[in-house]
Amino acid sequence: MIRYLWLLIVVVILAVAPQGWAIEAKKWSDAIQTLADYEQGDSKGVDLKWVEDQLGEVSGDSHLREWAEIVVIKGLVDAKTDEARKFMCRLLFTIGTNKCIPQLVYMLDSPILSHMARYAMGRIGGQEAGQALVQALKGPQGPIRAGYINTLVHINYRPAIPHIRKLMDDRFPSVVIAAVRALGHFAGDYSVQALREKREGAEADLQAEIDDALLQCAEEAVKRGEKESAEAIYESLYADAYPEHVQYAALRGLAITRGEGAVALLEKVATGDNVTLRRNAIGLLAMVKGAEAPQALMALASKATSDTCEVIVRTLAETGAPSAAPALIRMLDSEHENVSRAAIEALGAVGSPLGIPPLAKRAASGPEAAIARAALIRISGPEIPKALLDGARSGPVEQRVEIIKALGERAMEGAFDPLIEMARMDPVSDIRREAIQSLAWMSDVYQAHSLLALLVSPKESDDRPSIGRALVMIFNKSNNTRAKSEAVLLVYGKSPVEAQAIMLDLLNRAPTASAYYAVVQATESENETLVDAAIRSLGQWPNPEPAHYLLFLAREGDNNTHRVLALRGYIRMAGMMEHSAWAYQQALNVAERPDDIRAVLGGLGNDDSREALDMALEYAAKEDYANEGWRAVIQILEKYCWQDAAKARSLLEKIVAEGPNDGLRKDARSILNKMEQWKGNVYSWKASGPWQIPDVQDGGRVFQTVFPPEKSLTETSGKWRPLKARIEGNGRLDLQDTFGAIDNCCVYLATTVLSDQKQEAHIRLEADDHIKGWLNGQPISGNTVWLEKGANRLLLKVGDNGGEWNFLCRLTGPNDTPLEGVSFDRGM
Amino acid sequence: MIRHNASRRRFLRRCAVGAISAPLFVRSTVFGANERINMGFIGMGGQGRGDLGGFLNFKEVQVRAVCDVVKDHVQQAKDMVDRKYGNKDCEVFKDFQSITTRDDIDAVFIGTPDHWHAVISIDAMKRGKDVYCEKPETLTIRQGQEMLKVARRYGRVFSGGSQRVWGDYNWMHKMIYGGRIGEVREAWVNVGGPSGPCNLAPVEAPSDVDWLMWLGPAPYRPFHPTLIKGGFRPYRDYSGGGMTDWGCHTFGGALFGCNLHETGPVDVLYPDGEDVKQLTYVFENGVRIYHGGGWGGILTFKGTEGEIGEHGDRKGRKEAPPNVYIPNYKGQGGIFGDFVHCVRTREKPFRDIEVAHRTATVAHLGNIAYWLKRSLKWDPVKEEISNDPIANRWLDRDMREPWSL
Repeated sequence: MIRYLWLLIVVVILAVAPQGWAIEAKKWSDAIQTLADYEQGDSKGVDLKWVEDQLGEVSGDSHLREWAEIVVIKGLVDAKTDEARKFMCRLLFTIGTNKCIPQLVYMLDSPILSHMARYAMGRIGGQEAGQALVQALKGPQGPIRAGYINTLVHINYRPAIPHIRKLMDDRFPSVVIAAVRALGHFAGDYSVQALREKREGAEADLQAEIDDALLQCAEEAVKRGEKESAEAIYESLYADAYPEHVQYAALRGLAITRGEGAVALLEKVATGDNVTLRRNAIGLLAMVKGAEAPQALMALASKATSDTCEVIVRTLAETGAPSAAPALIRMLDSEHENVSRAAIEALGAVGSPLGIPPLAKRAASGPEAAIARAALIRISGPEIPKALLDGARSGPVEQRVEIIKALGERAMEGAFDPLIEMARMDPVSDIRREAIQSLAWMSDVYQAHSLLALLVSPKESDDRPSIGRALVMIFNKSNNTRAKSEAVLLVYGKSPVEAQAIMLDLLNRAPTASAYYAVVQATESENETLVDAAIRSLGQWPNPEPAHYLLFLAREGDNNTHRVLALRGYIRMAGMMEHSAWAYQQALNVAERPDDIRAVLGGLGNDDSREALDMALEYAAKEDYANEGWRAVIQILEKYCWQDAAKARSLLEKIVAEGPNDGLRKDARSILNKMEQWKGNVYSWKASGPWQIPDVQDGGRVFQTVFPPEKSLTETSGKWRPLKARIEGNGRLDLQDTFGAIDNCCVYLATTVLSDQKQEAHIRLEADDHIKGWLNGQPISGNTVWLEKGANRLLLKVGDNGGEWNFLCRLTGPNDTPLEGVSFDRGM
Repeated sequence: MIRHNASRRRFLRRCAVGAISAPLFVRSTVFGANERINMGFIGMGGQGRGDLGGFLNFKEVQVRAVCDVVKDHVQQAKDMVDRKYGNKDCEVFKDFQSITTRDDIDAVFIGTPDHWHAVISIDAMKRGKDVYCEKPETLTIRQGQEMLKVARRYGRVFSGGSQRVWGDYNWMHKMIYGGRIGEVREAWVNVGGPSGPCNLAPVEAPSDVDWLMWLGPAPYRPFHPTLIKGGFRPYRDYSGGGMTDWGCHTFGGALFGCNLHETGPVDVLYPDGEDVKQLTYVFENGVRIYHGGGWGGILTFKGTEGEIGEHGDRKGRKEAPPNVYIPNYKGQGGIFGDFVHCVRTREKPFRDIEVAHRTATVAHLGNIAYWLKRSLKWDPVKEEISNDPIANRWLDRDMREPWSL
């Protein structure tokens, strides 16, 4: 009858369970029923993890939780095995309430089931559970009773205290220990009295438990603000009769409860006969607030041995008292390495200006330099900034250098102007250079004008390279090209040639139109140094804007050096140009010397076009350039293989069979393996983007926004570039590697699929985070697409919320077979 | 760039916190230069014996006794010790209390399965022993709280056994503390997932295994050989799974790199398939640590000015780290040497109990979120889940009688 009643309840509750979970609910309640016969290793086909996972989800919803508890209680009632009952207890651990306590109580007496009943009851807590456990204390004896006590502690059921006290005389040691621990947990005068009584005549093991319980009582008293009660316990335990670690705990307690009032005691202990407590008292002085403790420590340090001295040093550091600095400085010269090392660290912690010169001295040389540098960076306090600046301005040079270094590392506010002054005026070159380096660390692009002024009029011309490097560091930190360019151009015209040459190098880090114009102008200077610097700068331009001009200079330049410089720059540009193969061809046309031709072939390997491949093959056939030519062939094939697999495979197989050396044959084999591994994946793309919306930090919203490449789905208008992305271990292309760590953006990817017939294909798109696609202007939905004979334009959009950013496009025949007669042309 | 300076400054200032620590309790022997630390070793399975070999290399350590519930394990351990010292003096025990209650033992090593760590650690510390405990140092968050309380109460040196936080990841820490990636904002920890239910078919326990003692505080179940051969990690009664196993190394590395190793997250976000793609820990200062993902191997950091992974930058280049001193191991000889040094000097070891507990807490919170399939709000000061009483139940579990903390 009861069984039917339960079934009725389940049916009724299932009926009201929210839609969407109802099917799982049915499956779940069936699983619970099935588990009635559960034995370890035989869960009757039920996935226990699934049952628990479902329960986890349910437990967040009070309505479903209530329903699930009823199902589990029924499961407990119906359970035919102990393993089934124990499993139900595990579920009740999470969702149980007072409702299930009566069922659990039946299990408390069982040596096999008692623990799992408590396992659930200990989480449910409350009066019902407490009363049931207290009642159980009258039941079976032995360790099972210790379990009841332990669970009463967990549910913090204070009415159990008198019952537990009675069990301190139980004949089972485990029950006595549980009772002692319980009284320590519940604390209060009642417990303290009981514990003290029990300690007399107890065995050593039990005394350890009682001492610990008393210490817990004291800690609870401190928490409740009953310091006198706590102090009384600590005082009683601080006696020779107790083990040393208990005496330490008591002394510690006294330091906490008495505060500064404990200093005299700690000082006395620190000079007393008991070696253990002597040293412990030193450590405990750090816990005491106020000025008295550091003074006591300093007095102790003057008469301490080296081991004790290290303890005192570290304790002084913990107090953070600047007044300890003189004593710490004296200890820096200790003959004991442990003491001097500890003193260095301590000086960094106490924050006295007195510590700065000795720290700087040790930072300058010696085995403790790194620790002293760290201490100089770390040291803080109201007087420290001024003291650091004073130390940077005067004193031994090597110490000033260390302090200046620390100023840069700290990026200390107020240090910029003094450092500029030092960089400009100091008679010592080492000081000037360190100041310049520190300025590089701490400055932003808006402060660059001060360093540019210094570049124009340095104290000595030898300072300019340092200033130039510092400016490069500063420029590299900012994306504000306009601010960088304006800062340089403001002073460029009025600067001496040596400064202009450095500024020309800076301008390629600020590639505005004005910057470009200024650099091009400099190539027409009559001063060789400037022309040289200008061509080098153009060669390092971050975009291919100077390419044609560099090609012109490479062809028509005034002298050989300039022509070579220009050609090398142009080769670098060629790799960035839309029609890079054509650009490499132009470079080959201009290159006269064999070394220049080899340099072009070195660049050609970066290309992935059919034209580049043909060029490389042509040179591979020439004896003088065979090495560079074949290397370029392999490098190109590594990318070209994703465009025209058939042609690439035939060439690679030829190289494997007849390649001129082992290295090339091995590389060719490796590419063939990779082609096999990723067969079907599309890796030949051009890209437009990344596209973002200013101030929008929602990757999903950015992905939903229509950007220009999406407006014309069949034309590749706008700015596109070849996608040169790394293949990740899972076959996806890593976009973050290509576009940088940009969040909340998207990119468009396009390629042309050339098919020699109309055919059905299977497409799979995956991405971290968003992806969608269009084939011949039509949105791709589902996995089946039709390729037209001839050119098919495939456009993808891949969005990123943040973190990793990658995608996979896989195009195969039905059933994942390779597509026949298909190649890819990204059309750059 | 202003942001860069400010963040760098803040980071360096933060690094000052906890850079130095006052000594703990100092023993009466005070371990003079020639005095040896008497140690007892508990839990002599594969990991325990490996660590035993490491400690035996320290001339400052004298291993007095070894203990395991598996006869073969403890015999192998005894043979190692006796071989090293050239005598037969090493004592063998099955019950850890035979070691923790001895007056001539100064420190214990614990290499048992995770479900024993808290019980043995606390028992040893209550009796004045220092403790080196293998990671994961705890099975539940409350165990860590108790272990911390007892260690501080008696001034005990407690070193957790994660050698990887500094040993494996120190290049990243030096790069970060040296300001090379600006202010660190995100970290990805690639370790295994949570543990789950155990459903291994019963097998008769061999006579040389004390199965009840192996189970100790864990719920009773019949013997299965997998469990005593190091295969206990997937099961919740004995371990937190990959989350706490390698997690206690690698979350430790992430927290240390982010200088968050003495606090905890405020939010644990469960993946929702939309905005939250993977389990995400959010800290009060906005730093996010993710379970899974990243490109840098087992651990990846992203700062305001760069990213690094286990093997270097994205191109696998590992530049020389800045010459920055970060307080790490004391003494000589890695994490074992750190413990030996601290037992003598009473300093806090690198993997002090508080760091160990905070690290394990991150892993445990992740497990709770996974088990309950929802996000949690964590109060790192009160150390409780503030938005979910049901989830709070998982902070602890009742032990099988008679065991308790």
